[in-house]
Amino acid sequence: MFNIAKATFKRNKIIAKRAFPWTLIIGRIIAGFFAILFPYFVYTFFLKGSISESFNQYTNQSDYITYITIGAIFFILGRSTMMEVGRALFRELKEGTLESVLLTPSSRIGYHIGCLIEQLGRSFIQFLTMAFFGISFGANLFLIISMQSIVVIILTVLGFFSMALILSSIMLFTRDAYITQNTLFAVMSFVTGVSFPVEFLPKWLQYFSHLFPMTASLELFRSIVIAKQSISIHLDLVLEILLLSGGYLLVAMICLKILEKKLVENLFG
Amino acid sequence: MKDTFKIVIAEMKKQHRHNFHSYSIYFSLLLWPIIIFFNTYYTYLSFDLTKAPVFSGLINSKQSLLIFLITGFIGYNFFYSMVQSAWQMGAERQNGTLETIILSPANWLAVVYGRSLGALFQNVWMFSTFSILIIISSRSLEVNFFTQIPIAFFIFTLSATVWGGLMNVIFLFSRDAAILNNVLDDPMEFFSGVRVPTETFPVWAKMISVIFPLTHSLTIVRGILLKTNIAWMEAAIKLSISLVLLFILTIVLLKLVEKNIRDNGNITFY
Repeated sequence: MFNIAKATFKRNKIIAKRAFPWTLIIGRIIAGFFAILFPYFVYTFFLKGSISESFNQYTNQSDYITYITIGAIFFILGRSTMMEVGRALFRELKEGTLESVLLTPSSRIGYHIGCLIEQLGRSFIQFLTMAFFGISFGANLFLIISMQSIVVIILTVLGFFSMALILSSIMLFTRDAYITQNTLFAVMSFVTGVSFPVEFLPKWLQYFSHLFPMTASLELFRSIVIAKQSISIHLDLVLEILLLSGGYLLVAMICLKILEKKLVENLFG
Repeated sequence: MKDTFKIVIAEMKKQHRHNFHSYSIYFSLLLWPIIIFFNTYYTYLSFDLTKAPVFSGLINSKQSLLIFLITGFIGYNFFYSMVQSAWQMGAERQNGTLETIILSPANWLAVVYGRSLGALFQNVWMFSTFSILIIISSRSLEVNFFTQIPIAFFIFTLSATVWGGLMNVIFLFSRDAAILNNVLDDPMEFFSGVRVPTETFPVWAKMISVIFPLTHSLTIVRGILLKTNIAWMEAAIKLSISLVLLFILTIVLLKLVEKNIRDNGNITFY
């Protein structure tokens, strides 16, 4: 498994080096910048800091700009991670190399882990850019590096990874990337509390939002970084992330296994 | 003149036959904008609108916020569907039909505006329906409502078509103008005041917002629908000036494209 992960990592690194999709990266940076700029403008220039009672109540008097920046960073990173890992197999299909991948006895999970690790390197650069934007708009991100926040980041990445595998099987099943991924990301940015507390939504959407591991990890991360709480009082959120990610990983692996049989038949039949 | 109209109509019909069956437009031009609309609305709920410093009486309740946002979104929907239609110019090139169009005696300008009008009518009707529902649900129904809506749509259609003409010409230059897509998506949306009133922008942001005709169209339409005392005459003049400038730019660029193709192109572009 580790050999496969390593090999995939190396291959993807070479692809990224030689055929770097600059427009994609620029697009993501622009999107991230405006994701922070919009609430910043409303807060600073338009409504001049008049935060509503309900926001204070649901977020324990959080600093608005920090709250928004963390949400935007999580969303942009989640989007690029899920997109790159989720699209890996679909891209093989498009490029005509899926047959060879399916015929090898290589570990499928190792393949995806390799994609994930390669993507994380690029995500880190994106993270630094976004954090720079946030800090220049006045976000207080200096507590972001601590033992606890690193634990939460690892949990979050696990969540993204499990969602990416689900996305991958949906894309292979529907043979469509554009509609599937963009619908998922639009819904995700709406319900998981990226730019406002989940409690603002109607009840049924709040229940729905807990299908995404990102809802719990955002709440956890914010309470650690903004409210400076300890992770030990939020063990329920940790459990929620672990259960969801574990469940999705299991479902996705079963789905990919079934799909694999179908795909082999389609491709060679 | 009659020929020009014929070409515009023909191009619109072609667009309709070519794209209308595609289910993907129900996502990209209906479902996603609706989700983003509600996302923006809920983002505003983090603020106390009643405590806010009054801004020309424009947004002080949830109802006026809804109307403010939906006019922004419908305007953006009009303009963005133009960028998307121009983007499909690339497909015309790859399919090899661009040569046929260029070799035909059809007036290019007519083709370009036919493309933008065609894309407009089939792309915006869905979100327009949604917008009208939102507007009706968030304000009391009056008689002049039925005159205001057509005026609003006329302003959007006119300005978006001119804008779409320019977009289509720009995409004639290059096979890969995807970078333009990035520049015109988020920045145009933000600086034309789709979600934040441009009147409250700092000076540097106001200077950027003047470039986009969407800014002026939105000022006028919001002036009509929200009954603000913003000088809408001034906005109308600004809008007409920017539309005329865009039109001139379109013609100049079209000439340059033609020259470029004659100098560097061969009979098959792709």
